[in-house]
Amino acid sequence: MSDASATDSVPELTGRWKAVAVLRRTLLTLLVLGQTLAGVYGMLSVLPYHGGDLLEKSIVLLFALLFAWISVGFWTAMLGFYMRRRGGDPQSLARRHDAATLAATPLARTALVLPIYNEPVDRTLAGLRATVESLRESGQLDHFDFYILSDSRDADVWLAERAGWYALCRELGLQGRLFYRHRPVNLNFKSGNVADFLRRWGADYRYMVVLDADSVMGGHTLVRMVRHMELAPRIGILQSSPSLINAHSAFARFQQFANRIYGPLFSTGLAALQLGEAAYWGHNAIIRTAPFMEHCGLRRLSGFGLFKGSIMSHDFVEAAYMGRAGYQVWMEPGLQQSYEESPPTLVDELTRDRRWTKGNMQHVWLLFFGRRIRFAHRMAFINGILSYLASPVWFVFLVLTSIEATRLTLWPIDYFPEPQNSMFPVWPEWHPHWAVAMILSTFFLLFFPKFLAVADVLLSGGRRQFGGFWRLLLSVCLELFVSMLLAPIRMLAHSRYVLEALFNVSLHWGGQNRTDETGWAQALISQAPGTLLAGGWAALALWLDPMFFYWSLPVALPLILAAPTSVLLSRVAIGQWLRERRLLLTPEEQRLIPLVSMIAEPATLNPTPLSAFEAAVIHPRLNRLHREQARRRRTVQPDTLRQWAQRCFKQGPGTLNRFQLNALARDDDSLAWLHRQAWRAEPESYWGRRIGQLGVVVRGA
Amino acid sequence: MPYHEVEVTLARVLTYLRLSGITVTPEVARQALGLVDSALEEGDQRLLVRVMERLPDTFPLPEEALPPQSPPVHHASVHYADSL
Repeated sequence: MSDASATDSVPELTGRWKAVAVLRRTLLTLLVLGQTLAGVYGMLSVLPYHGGDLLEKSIVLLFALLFAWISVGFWTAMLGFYMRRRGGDPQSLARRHDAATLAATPLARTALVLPIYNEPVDRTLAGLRATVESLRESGQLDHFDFYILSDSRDADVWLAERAGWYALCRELGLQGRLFYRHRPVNLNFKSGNVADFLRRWGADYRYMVVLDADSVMGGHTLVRMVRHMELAPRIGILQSSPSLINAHSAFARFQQFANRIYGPLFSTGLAALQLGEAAYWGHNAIIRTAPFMEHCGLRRLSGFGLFKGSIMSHDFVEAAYMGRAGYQVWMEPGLQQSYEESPPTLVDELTRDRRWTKGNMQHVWLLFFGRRIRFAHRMAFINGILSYLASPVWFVFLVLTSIEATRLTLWPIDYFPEPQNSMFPVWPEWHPHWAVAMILSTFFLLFFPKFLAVADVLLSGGRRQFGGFWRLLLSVCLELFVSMLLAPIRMLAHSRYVLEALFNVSLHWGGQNRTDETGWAQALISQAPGTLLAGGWAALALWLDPMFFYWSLPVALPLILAAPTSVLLSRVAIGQWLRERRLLLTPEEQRLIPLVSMIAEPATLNPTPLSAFEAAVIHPRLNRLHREQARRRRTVQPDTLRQWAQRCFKQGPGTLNRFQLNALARDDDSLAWLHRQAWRAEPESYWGRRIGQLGVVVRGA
Repeated sequence: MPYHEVEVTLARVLTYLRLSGITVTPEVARQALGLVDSALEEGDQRLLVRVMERLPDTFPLPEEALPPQSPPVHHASVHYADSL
């Protein structure tokens, strides 16, 4: 019997969590509904015709949706605060077993898989190195194997990955334990990559831990996760709640601070609501391989447009399928030492959100046509969909309120709005103080949980970890200001992405930038539509009514300032300036634990001046390594390969396109021929010069 | 024969040896000089090519075992449900 199926027949250990989950979710629903009804009543009072015509009805409908959405966040945070203050959720996994029981639980074979796609190699492998070293420190390294699963398309990237893997094997002594697989065809994105691993080696492991390119996990945390899985055989997926680390730019430091201070409250609340029907976030999670292989294969969608083809955001669907098969999915916020990184700039975050929007909008199909999916997982789909759909709803809400303001100013008053069939006129009423009350109550729902998170830190005695009380308070105020600046920019971008998704515009699926700052030209061009739109809207508001102009400013001004906001927040110097003043501090920044320090300045795996392709040609060991791993089956005719190799030799690799370079790098004969020719090349030739430069470095070393 | 070409050839031999994992000791340096010298005796045309061709015969290059890129494959299936 394969190791993967060893525990599949063990009975379920349920407890009372299902009943508790129903109770909590019912309470949440009642609170949100009650609050939304109160909000709708308030909105009807504010509107001049009290929802008497189609325009106002539409405004109220959109308002109800948005108000309900932020109410869910508010009550989730409330629940999180309550659970944290009482010392944790009694239903959580962390409270299920004591330390002695966990320590006495034997481990099972586990694979750590790292699917990557055109990522920065040094940083990615530094994260893996840190995780391996931490596992070694825990004394349990022998139970784990490691797989780098590459879907990278550029020869320079995957050759660097393979060279890095080779260096890491030697450095860590993990020959035969650390593996590298490069898929020549990246079918079905990341989920296809993981499925490819499972088909080949999944049967060898009872569990797999899926990491992201920027993930780092502590050894003790991984060991604890395996033991929790061993003790509860009906858990299919156990998700940790990763903290953001290693932020340098101002943008990343704001995200990191927000994640670190508000995150625990929201994740505790979310976990308390979801319990055994949580979502899977795609990484920093442990998965029971046998049921995952049995039940979580992702069919292609059979609909139309966006709803046809591969499922892009696979994680929520896999969690739903695991739940459908009778397995539990838990998210455990108490699992420490689970880390990831923030995108360094707003541009990078929005690039990522563009993919995620499309992936989440695809879930609409599964929401309606997915069979036997648990209600809680359908709610998770709705949660993901609304994360992006809320933006266009907000946008349309602003458009409609602008029309309402325009109508009141420019058009004659309609004393008999449709469908009122009364002989008595309806007098429009405007109560600015009620409008102010509505705005304040909305702000309360949005911002009170943030101050509650601060209270949680203070009550837990953790203020020093965030720089002390006053710096913590100032940091929160700064974060609030920046989040208000970013909200309209995100709203407009997400609105566009939702439209793109619905019209199924093809997206470029690229790796995340983790280093570059945003340039002025790039920012001005990318933010120009929003800036122009907001400028026009503010001008219209000013022309209509100065009061409406002031109301428009919180949304219009951030959009007008989007380009400088984007550029300045991308600056590492500003992030460091804030850090030197001990602002936006996080516990990990204050006390640099080895896990974090190992990725802070990742070692350069290729210290030569050569590109990875040049190194594959020139370096004798790497040339041998890459030839050894070359494909035995050619996809390009030998004559054609010879022509490309000759051009590469005479003019350098820069004269070849990506396909040609990939073909040469995958061909044993071409690599051998280029290696031989390069070392015989005249000193003035392309390869002669590269060897000369390399010689200087080698002699210096 | 310009002195420069001899210098470049010797430097290239030493670079190749270092990259191949051979420590350049005085003995290794003498052998490298001997290799260039013997190639020079045959004329100064294509010195670099001749030296690099003979290098593997003069220096047995260490062939360390490469780590396995992947373990043996044990094929298994990923199952797909009948419906979404």
